[in-house]
Amino acid sequence: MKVLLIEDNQLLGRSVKLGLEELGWIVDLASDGEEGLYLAQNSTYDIFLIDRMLPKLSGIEVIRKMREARIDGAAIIITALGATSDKISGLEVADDYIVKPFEMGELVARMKAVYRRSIGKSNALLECGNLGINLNEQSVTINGDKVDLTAKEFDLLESLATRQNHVCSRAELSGLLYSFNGEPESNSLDVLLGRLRKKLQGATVEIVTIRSKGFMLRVE
Amino acid sequence: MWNRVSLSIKIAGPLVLMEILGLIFGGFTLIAKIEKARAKEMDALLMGQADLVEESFRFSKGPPDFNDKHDLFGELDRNPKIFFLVMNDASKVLYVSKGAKPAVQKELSDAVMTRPDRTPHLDELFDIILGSEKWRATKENIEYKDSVNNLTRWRVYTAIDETASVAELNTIRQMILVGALGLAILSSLATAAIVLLTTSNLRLFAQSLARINPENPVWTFPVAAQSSEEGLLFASFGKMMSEMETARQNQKLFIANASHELKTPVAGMMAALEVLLARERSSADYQAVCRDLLKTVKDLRRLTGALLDTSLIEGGKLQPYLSLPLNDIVDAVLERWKPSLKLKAMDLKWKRPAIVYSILGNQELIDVAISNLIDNAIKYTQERGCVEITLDRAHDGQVRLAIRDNGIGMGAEEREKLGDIFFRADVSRSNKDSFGLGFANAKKILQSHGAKLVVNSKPGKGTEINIFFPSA
Repeated sequence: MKVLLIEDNQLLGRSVKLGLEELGWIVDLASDGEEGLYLAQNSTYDIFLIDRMLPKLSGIEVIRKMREARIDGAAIIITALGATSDKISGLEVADDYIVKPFEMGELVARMKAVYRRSIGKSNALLECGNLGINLNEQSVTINGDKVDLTAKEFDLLESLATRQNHVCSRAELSGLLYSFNGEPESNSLDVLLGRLRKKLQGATVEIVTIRSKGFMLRVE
Repeated sequence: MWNRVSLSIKIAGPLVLMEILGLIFGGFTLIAKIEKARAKEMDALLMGQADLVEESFRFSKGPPDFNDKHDLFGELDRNPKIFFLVMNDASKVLYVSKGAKPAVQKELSDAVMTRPDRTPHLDELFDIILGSEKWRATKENIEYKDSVNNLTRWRVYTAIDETASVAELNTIRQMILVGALGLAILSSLATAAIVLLTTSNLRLFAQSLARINPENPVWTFPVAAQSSEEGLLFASFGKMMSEMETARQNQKLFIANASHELKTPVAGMMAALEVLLARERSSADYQAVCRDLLKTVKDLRRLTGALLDTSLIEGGKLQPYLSLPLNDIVDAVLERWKPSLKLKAMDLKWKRPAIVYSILGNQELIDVAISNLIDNAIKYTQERGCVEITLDRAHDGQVRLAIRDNGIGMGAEEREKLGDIFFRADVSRSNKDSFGLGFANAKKILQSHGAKLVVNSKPGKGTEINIFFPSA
């Protein structure tokens, strides 16, 4: 899962980024609204974690501009403003609202819940044919037998599985798998796809290549 | 109790009461005047009839012949509404008119004959009441000399029937009273209507106040003012609401900013510690996080100190003013800021004047104000920049303290907002040492001391702050 965190407090930003990265997520950190909006417009993210009171452009404005630009992805506001009226105004544009100071456990749980809602799942288990993907445990099974995947392979499978029957372009997949500044090797996606296809042999799903368009997970 | 009575009742009540009293007084005065005029008219009529009777006796030198039906005296004698009786000195009845009914005639005769003559030589007027009838009577003394020149004296009693007149007067009296009552009701209704109409906006005003939501106190009056007083009231209230709304928004902004500034570092520390403790780390990782936490705690200490300054200044808890030598205060403040200046390799230009410039003020607060301004000059000036401080006397005799820097400066829009709590000259907030409280606090302190601040600044060129203190 790829997250864009927009937070101007260095300590909080760095700490949350590190905490999420240690869960295996890919996190880009922006320190003001304008930088955050730029990243949102130029990469692909599953979740946006946005401070409400940001320099240059407020968190609410960032989300509005993202929605105007038709940028999908669940947005969570993190803020010091905990009054009901603040929560209501925040939830008018965002999918969830977390009041500072918060515990990392709660933040992660909310992010997972919001992510599940955004992909239309009520639980953490994604099923594609005989393939089972547990988003919480980040584990994969074929007919109940566990398949060992690396973090990147899991991210790739998750990205394709959450976008079933939808063609994901090479750029979109790269955007979801690598941080903004973490430029991948030119053929790393192909290598990753090759490895994943091999590990998914025996599954009733297939990663098909749509020429000059991208890739798609298809249930056989 | 009186305080809880409606204003409409308070205004309309006395007015209606006065109107009713006025109408009662007017009605009774009118009735009295009519009665008096009527009595006067009846007396005049009676006197006229009495004169006729007297003339007829004087002319005839005795009881005239009333049998001539065409004679004026005959008509008088036969008129049922007129009664006259003539008697001589010896109270012997010489003549009684024949017009009145016999029973009435007898009763009237008895009445005048039995009436004690208290004024034998004077004429007099009096009433005779016979059951439901009222007669007005007069007694006149007649003297004349007969043919042998003997003086003869008669008393002539003449009465006229006033019963019809009294009945008519009663009718008039009733009509006046009914009229007065009707007028009282109409004028009361009119007064009540006018008062209700006049106070209707006040009621609407009070109702509109009751509808104000304390959470979102917006007030607009639904109708136009009907008088200059109402206009003044509504305009004043509207202005007050507008000022309160501005204060509320400022307070809300202050709370939002203060919450953000206080809670975000706490959230940062919590997240840092949670992440740190989630797994085994290297010694370098622990040290790095501890350094971050220490810096955050120091920032929080500075922030709480600045917020405390703000609350003290806002609360107006100022100590008594003393004569303060500004030279010494600037020296003391600069001494504290020298390490920061050195850290940024900045050049400080300060030549302590030989003359001591004193101002009246609170030493602690003046120290905070000057310190905040010098802090800003250092914060918003790049490394190897320059801060210059001068202290002298302006042309008008005021003490002038100038703080100049060649830092990032500000544009007109930023200068406009300077002094707003939590505003930062560096709007991008890239300078993490600033909370946006220093200048706001300094401005409040200096203004409370009667000092005037003049800020000149240009982006990229630097800022000059001139403070003009009234002389001690």
